Amino acid sequence: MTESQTSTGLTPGTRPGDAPLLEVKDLQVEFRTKAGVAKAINGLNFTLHAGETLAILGESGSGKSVTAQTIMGILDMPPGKIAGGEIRYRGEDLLSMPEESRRRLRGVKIAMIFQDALSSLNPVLPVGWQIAEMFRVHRGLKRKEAKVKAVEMMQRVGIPGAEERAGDFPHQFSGGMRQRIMIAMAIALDPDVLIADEPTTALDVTVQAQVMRLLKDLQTEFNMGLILITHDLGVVADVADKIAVMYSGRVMEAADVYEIYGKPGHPYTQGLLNSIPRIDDEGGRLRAISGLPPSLTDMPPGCPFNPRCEFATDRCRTERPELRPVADGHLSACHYAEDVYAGTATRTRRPSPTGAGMIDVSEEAPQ
Amino acid sequence: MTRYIIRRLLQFIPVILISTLIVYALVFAIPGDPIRALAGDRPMSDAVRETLREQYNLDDPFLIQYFKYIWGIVTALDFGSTFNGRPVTDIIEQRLPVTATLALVTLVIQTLMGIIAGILAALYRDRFFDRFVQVSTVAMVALPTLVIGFLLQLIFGLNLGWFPIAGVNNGVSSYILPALTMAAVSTGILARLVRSELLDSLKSDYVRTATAKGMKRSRVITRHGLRNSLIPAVTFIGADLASMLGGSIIVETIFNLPGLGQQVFASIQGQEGTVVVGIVTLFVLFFVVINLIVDLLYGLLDPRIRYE
Ligand SMILES: Nc1ncnc2c1ncn2[C@@H]1O[C@H](COP(=O)(O)OP(=O)(O)OP(=O)(O)O)[C@@H](O)[C@H]1O
Ligand code: SF4
Ligand SMILES: [Mg+2]
Repeated sequence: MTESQTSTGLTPGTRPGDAPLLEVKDLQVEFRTKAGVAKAINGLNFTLHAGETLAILGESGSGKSVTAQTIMGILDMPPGKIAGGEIRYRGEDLLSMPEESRRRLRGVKIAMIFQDALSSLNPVLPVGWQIAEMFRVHRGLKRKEAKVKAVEMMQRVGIPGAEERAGDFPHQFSGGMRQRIMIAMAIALDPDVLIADEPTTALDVTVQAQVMRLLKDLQTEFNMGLILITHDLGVVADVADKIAVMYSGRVMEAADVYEIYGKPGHPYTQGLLNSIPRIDDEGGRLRAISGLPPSLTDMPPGCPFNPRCEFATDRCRTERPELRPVADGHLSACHYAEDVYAGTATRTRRPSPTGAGMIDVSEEAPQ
Repeated sequence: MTRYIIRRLLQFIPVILISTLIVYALVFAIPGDPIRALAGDRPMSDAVRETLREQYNLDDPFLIQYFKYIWGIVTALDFGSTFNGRPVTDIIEQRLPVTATLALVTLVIQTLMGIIAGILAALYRDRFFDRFVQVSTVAMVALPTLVIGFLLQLIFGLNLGWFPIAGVNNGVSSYILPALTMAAVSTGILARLVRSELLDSLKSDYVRTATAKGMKRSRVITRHGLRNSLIPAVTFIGADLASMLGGSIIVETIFNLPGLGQQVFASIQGQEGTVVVGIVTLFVLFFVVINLIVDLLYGLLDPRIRYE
């Protein structure tokens, strides 16, 4: 992807010269495993601006968590290896920065919350201490002052009786409260970028909405750039400004929420949208995308989605589609993006009724 | 919590009664006549022998002897005396400091060496030091105490002459080789335990969180990783300390240290039942008390533990 595409891309109206808050360019991450080199991230691109919520959407294994960990600099290396690309925070490349400068940004300017708050909080330290640690280490506050700040943060994220509960341990809280504590810890130092990796997946449905609401409120209050990682299309509809759809470690499509829902420009996104059960849909017909994502150790040539795509042609099997604009602020990595966007793409295949693979439309006997 | 402690303390009573009963029974079962053994080759009149047998209740049935012994302890804190008339408490008082010093030096050695080796092995995983720890700890655990003791005496005592090989006449340095011998197995186990616990902990989600919070690597390891991985080590050290007195029997004999262990060994040979039972009871008491302390400490270190 080229510079011009980046700036015509996700956020229209960016003045040239002022760098976006976070910019991921052609990122490549691989894992060296016994089975070979697994290419988890293969040329990933996206941009995030202040005050913006970007939802990263994708099936399990599409590389969402690896992306988050790479931005944070907490990827397990080895087996992980950053094979190429840039991650620019306010124009500065994080990947070429000395570790110590990077550490000073971590948790301070770029913070993260994890899916499983129970295992992600230290079981033997009081929650107040864990929040206060941010103020003590990064702001040099004394124990007492840091504790006061921690209690304030706990109050801000809606923990009842924060003062008394600061000395409690993670296992003494409910799932929702624990996630609020994680959030309090992450936003303690007013970060510019907050990455939330499936923050509500482990929670009860009723609690999910509350936590998501809280995240959204805090994002507005602190004017953070929020990266919301999820595989649940329903969750992001209310809170996200933009959506980037990931597949096999690439962004397949990126656009405003309304664009994505209303006029998807990529067959994979269409498939995802079709697989959401709708209330108005009599009988709750669910059309999952047939087939499985490609193996990361043995990527097919051409478009990574071609084995599962209803529109795939010979070109798709040889030539890799680049992420390019299909409409204003709408990017898609499909050779036939314009046709798909306009709803005029020619279906070449359809899922086999047995669920095993695809059947070429042309090979079917005319009825 | 208080109720928990009281309940545990009450549990001490049957534990001690049963263990002393077993020891008493074992001593009782040793064949031969202890009075004759005491007299050795010297002639002893029947009258004297009768008086002695009477005094030590040797003609009573076994259970009656046992109850008289316990009764003496409970009513008069009388732990009995040797056939020479020396109170058992006197012997314990004299020999306890030697064994206590040995246990303390051993504890310090194995805790320091085991934990440090375990931490370094984990931090330098699969590198030379880690491999070295892996191999040497296998050797330490597998070799019999007797062999380790002789090896240390040979190398550091006879060849290098760094430490005395027997007796207690050289202050703390007299205790180094015996303590190393006694610490060998536990140091090996402890190093491996700390290594694997720390590796697990460094892979854990909460350590990842600490890194994501922008903590320095050293702080991540000490405050977040180590803290959790040392909890099982504390339990192990406690359990090991509790059983250390038992281990002192062999080591004190090899190195000729005049401690409780050596006394037990000698008293078994001399069939001095009261002395054996007295010292072993002390060992058992120590064992249960230390275990209680460890359990309480465990709860202090790990807030998830609750006492019911
Ligand atoms: N530490 C690791 N070692 C080897 N492979 C890894 C490692 N971490 C991730 N991977 C691989 O990278 C790929 C992407 O994983 P990732 O966790 O980013 O998926 P995800 O999109 O977050 O999925 P999910 O929705 O299940 O969380 C997976 O195929 C996974 O097997
Ligand atoms: S490039 Fe081809 S295979 Fe890939 S999504 Fe577009 S039509 Fe389908
Ligand atoms: Mg994930």
